[in-house]
Amino acid sequence: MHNEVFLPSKTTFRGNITIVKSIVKQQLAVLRAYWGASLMSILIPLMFVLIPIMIGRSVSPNYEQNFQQNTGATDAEAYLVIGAVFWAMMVGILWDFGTYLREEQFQGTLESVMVTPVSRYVLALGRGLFSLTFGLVSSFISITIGLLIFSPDVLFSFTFVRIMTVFLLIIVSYFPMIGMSLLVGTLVIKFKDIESVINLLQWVLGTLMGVFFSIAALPWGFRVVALLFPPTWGLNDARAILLSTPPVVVMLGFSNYTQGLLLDTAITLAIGIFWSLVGFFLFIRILEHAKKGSGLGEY
Amino acid sequence: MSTLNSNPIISIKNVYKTYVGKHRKGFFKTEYREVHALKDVTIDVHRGEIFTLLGPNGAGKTTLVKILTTLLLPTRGTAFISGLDVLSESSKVRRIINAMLMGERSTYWKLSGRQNLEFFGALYYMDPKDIEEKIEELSKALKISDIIDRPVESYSSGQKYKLAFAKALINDPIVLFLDEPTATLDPRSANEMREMIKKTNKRGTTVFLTTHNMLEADELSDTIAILDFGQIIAVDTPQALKDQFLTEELIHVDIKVDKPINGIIPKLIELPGVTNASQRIPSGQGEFPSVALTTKEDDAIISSLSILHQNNIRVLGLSTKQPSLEDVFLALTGRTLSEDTSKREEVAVDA
Repeated sequence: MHNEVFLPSKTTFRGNITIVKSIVKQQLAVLRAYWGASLMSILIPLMFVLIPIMIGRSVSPNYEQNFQQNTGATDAEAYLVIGAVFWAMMVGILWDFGTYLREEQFQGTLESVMVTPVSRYVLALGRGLFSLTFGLVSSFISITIGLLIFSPDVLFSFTFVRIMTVFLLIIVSYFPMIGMSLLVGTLVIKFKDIESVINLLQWVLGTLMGVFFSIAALPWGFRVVALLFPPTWGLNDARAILLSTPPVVVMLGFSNYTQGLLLDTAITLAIGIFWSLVGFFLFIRILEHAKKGSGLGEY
Repeated sequence: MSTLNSNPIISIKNVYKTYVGKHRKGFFKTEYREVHALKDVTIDVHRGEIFTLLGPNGAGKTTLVKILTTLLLPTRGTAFISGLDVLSESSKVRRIINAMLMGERSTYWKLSGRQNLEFFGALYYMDPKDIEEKIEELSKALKISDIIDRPVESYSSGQKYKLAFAKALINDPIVLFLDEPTATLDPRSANEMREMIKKTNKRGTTVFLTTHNMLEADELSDTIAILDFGQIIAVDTPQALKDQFLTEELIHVDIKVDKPINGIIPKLIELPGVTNASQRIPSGQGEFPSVALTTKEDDAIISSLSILHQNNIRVLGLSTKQPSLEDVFLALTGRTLSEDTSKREEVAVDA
């Protein structure tokens, strides 16, 4: 049976890059069709942050001073806005990426894609890059609008270098989120309708990353779990760069601010690599497992 | 249909597929049950032919197609496409095949037809220039040039199928898998689809088709394998199957009459050579009753017309039908192809 076969196409690195670009392009085209959803992803964190800001203003006109004492943030509302936007971005990835395969299953397109020679890793990368691009753009717009409304002075104090550093931090803490989202994706494929679990997870994530408070306020057990989540480090470091709040290791007792920030980034990267590897490994395992059973087309 | 090459392009040897289903029994207890979807399937498909897997719903046709398209792993057995092992060389196999598995749902409805084809072309590592040329060629051949830039959601069902078919041809596959390609199409669109399949095959593509429509199988196929309860029960050309399994030459006769013929049916059944006779009462206004007669002898037709005449029944029309693959399936299994066999026997297994 083993005769020489002419293979019409080559799976080169350049070819894979073209595929990643095609996936991003395809997703952008889908996004254009659902432009209302893009608008919502910008508005949701802004609506979400209104609640703690209004509670703070109602409790005490001096709530920002108390807030500064506990968090080190000179501008409480900027602190809350950054938290809400960062949280919304991470939750967006969780939903978008975690339910990716399930959506394709429902549409009927999953098998059309799986029957092509493209590697599952390249597919995940393409989808991940789109998710990152979309998350970065919508977060940038949200944060700009949010700070313009609540803390314009803080917004205008940002330098280009600070903004770029935060973008870099987001990217660093973003890839582990793909890993974690893939983990959620495997759960979705395995247990089918677990949207309620993702719903719960987004609030767990918000609490652990310290969306509206410093993680120093968490009971120690929760704090340990929080430190295993890359977004906790990403958010705290973004705040440290933009608002000069203490990085995580400084909160834990490390004395040097700049070194602390670098150490934070290194830890974020390390945790990120761990979660990404676990996520990708389980994702591929679950795909292989599905092939042994009734396949991915079944829902 | 194209000339066949004796070298098999698809070779399936002793393939088994068993699904294990979980059934909750109370809160803590789970029972596992096995369903044998495919049992010892061995087939050779020759280069350039239209090979049809014919069987009722639930026979295991889609399972076999999914194994060959690398979407499922068999429990046991081997399968090769153009010499490539579908298990160990699945990535290479996917480069030389394509498939239409989910009909109109195979494409992204929010995108235009062109965007869909560009996307899927890229997934086959095709050069963007080649993709554009292929899109032009396919949209002309499938007559979708005027709708290619419209969102797929605005297409009719037939147009969505055409686009799904174009998607399945984007990479010029050596083997094209089509799973029930006309199942939900109206008769006109189904006809168009069958013509497209024939043209594709004429250009040299081997077509592996599944259907439960015997007329479609008869019209398109070079070779037919009949699958029943996961087992291949016969493989041959349509004519050879009829010759082999219909030892008695049966003639199906349909006689349209002007009024119901209650009481005459037993007389028709008693005629020499008649194996079956029944009356069809019209469902709508303006339609006429008819008599369906199955006979082994031509003379029985004349005798039955004479009985009808003696009973003052006017014959409005008469047509005969040649034996079909439905009769072959009936002869082999004692059942018709329209019967759903998806409710398989499940065997409880230990967890």
